[in-house]
Amino acid sequence: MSNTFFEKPHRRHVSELNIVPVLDMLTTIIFFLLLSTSFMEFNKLTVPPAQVSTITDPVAPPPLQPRLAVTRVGASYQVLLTWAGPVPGSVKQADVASAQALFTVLSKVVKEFKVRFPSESTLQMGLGRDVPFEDLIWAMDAVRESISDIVLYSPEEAEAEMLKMGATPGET
Amino acid sequence: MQLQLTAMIDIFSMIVIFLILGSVFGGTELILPPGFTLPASYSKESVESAPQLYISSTEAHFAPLDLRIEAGKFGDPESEATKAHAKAIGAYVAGLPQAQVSSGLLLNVIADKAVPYRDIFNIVRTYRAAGFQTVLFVTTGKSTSGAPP
Repeated sequence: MSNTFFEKPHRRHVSELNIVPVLDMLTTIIFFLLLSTSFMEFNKLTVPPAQVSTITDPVAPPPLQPRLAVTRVGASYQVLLTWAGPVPGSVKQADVASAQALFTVLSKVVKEFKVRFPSESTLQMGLGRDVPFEDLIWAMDAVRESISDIVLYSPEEAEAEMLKMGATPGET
Repeated sequence: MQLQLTAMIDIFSMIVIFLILGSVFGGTELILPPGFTLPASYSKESVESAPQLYISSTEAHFAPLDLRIEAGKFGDPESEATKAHAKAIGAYVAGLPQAQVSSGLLLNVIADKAVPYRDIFNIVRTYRAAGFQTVLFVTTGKSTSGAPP
């Protein structure tokens, strides 16, 4: 009885707050924010008064716009490479016997063009209307050994260019 | 003494969530129709994940819409069939997210090796006009170089 009387009253147990996960998360977030923040700096730029100048001698030469036409006559192929510019020119190769020979001829012709005009990086290419897709891929493979950018143009234009240069336009 | 794992679990959970949200899952699956033969190329570029257009000697099949049209129809861009096809493709492109369109819309062209250049050019011209900026020709790879097989 006396023990019960003098016993300390029960106090509610309050557990200690575990803040370790919160600290972990906040540390991670701070690192993430620090790394993903980009700091910007404003500068002042003084622009001089406007002036007008005329350049009579162009610094960069105009593009040559090389065009490569490939048409098929029977089982053989014709190749025509033309370019514009101050000194326009062309290379024609007829009677290319097979697709394998076409790959070799195209590779050689375009490589020589690239050696002559190293700044040219784009070539327009057009094939005859009945040239199969497989030959287009081979032609692109051959051209891309030297020139990476290829723009395709229509078969009608390719055949017209062949006709203009005195070659057979291709099968119809 | 009990090992305190709470901190490690917290950090790993965050890393896992971060990686899941930051990952882009993309797969490229090509199903070749029967009788289709792809040309071979020495290109080392891998196939990109993009809408697929199948071209055979007879028809063009735009896979995302299951849209088919006779390949020869593209020769006349003013024909009703070509206009309707181009309109459907244009609507498909317009429905794509703006971010995807502005970053350069790709189109995988999977064509049989015997398809004539005339059809390839006319079809590609129509699709480019409809909004596909970059056209990728899908081929089979060749490990050696120097000449076509």
